Amino acid sequence: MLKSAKFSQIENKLAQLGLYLSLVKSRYNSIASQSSRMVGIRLELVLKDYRKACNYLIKENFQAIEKIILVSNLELGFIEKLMDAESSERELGESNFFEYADKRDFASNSQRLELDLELIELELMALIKDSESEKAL
Amino acid sequence: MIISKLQVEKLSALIASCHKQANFGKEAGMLGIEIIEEHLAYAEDYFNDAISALKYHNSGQALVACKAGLFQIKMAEKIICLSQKSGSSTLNYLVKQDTEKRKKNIYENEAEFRLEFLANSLAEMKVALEYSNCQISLRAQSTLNSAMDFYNDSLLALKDPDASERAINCAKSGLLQLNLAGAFIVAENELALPGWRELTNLDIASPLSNVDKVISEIAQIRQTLHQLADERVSIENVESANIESSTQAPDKERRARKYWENAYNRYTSGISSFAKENIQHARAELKKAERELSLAREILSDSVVSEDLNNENVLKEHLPVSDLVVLVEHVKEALLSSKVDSSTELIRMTDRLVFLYKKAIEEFESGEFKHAENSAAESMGILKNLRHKLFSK
Repeated sequence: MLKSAKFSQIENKLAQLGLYLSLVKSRYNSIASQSSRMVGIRLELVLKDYRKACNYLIKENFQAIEKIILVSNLELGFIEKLMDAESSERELGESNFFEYADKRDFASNSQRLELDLELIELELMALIKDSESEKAL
Repeated sequence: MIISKLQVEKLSALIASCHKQANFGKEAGMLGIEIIEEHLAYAEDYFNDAISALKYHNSGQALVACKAGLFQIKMAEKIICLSQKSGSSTLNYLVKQDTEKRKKNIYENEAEFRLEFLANSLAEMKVALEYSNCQISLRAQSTLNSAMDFYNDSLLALKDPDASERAINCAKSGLLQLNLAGAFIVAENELALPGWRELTNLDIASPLSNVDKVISEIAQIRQTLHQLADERVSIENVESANIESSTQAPDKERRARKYWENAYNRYTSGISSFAKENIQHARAELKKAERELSLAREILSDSVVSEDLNNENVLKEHLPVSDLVVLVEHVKEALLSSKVDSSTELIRMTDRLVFLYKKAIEEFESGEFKHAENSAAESMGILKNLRHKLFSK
């Protein structure tokens, strides 16, 4: 009996998460073409987690599901904040969005990689110049 | 338990019934349709799997598929019910629940609270940057990315029931990095970021003491160094200013810059240790950072020079403009996580790059400048090759 009650409780929480996710996704879909990459990527990852949680429910892995629900709710809240943050840029007709690099996104990872390689190049150039100058002295 | 075709077909009837409800709801503007339809799509897939299994007389598999399908239908029904219960104000219903929770200040744990605070701050910073259209240097961008990394790490730690403390520390580290990035950007652009509230609550840094002072000094001394360099080169390329002028920069600037770089690296190492719950090491690194910053400050203020400064000889010392070894580690991590083709070969290249760089530094410090130049040039060749392999398609 206890197991059934717990199952129902988790099922209800998961359904709430599903509804919240759907609401945020609907909002995102209406502005997707005028939104930063990271919002879309983060939303996809929450959707993946939600699907994972549904599979866990079949296997009755309640602890894992509760953690996913907690994290996903926080993340959906963050995504909403990001969309709110971008609303001014959209209203002004500009799409100059600032993107935080995300290691989980290949394109964003590429930008970060380029940034790191640029900094490495600066350091090597500095070392070469210093060596040339000292050699000349 | 044996399952019959009739029972499987009942599943199909249930799916059809759910679709009908969902379609009515869609016409009535019910929210949550997308997720409901996804569940029903999965249910249909399971139904097809069950039919296929029965075709090959695999009753066991058909039963498993049926159960999975029923679960998907149940989830769809629950969401329909939830959406209908709250009617057109579904969002308000969810928001109301959230608000009540906040009024009672109930969070599942401290980690949730910290993470939400970091999320708010990340969003605030984004608004401030977009609104002000300010310039963001490589260093500041790198620090902002680091704040985002800590947010992601904290979320991940929250999924682990034994990593609550790590989630808290990662969230705190993220806030500290955001604070530092804000200080860099404000100093670089000589403007206040609109809507960005500097984090003055010292609690975010506990149990690390004085980290807020370290952050403030790092930003201030960097700005002083850039202003000094600016007298000689254009401010547009602030990171390379030291490249153009490293050999012409007065000794005072070079020495101060050296201590600043050391302090910055110590600070970064400290924050990283803090996130990994190594508080002792974090404190030690921050103490060292404070020491390096005070030496830099002494030099720049032309005040009485301490014994430490009197005893050193920086004239034949290379002044690093970035921590190459740490950056190469980031590159390796990126290569591993993005699973690019031939990542093993690329990682070997990065190891060779670091080896040659360290060799060049040793040769420079021993006065073998010709060899140092050659080793550094060889390292640069590897870097160019790496770039070519990664980005040319």
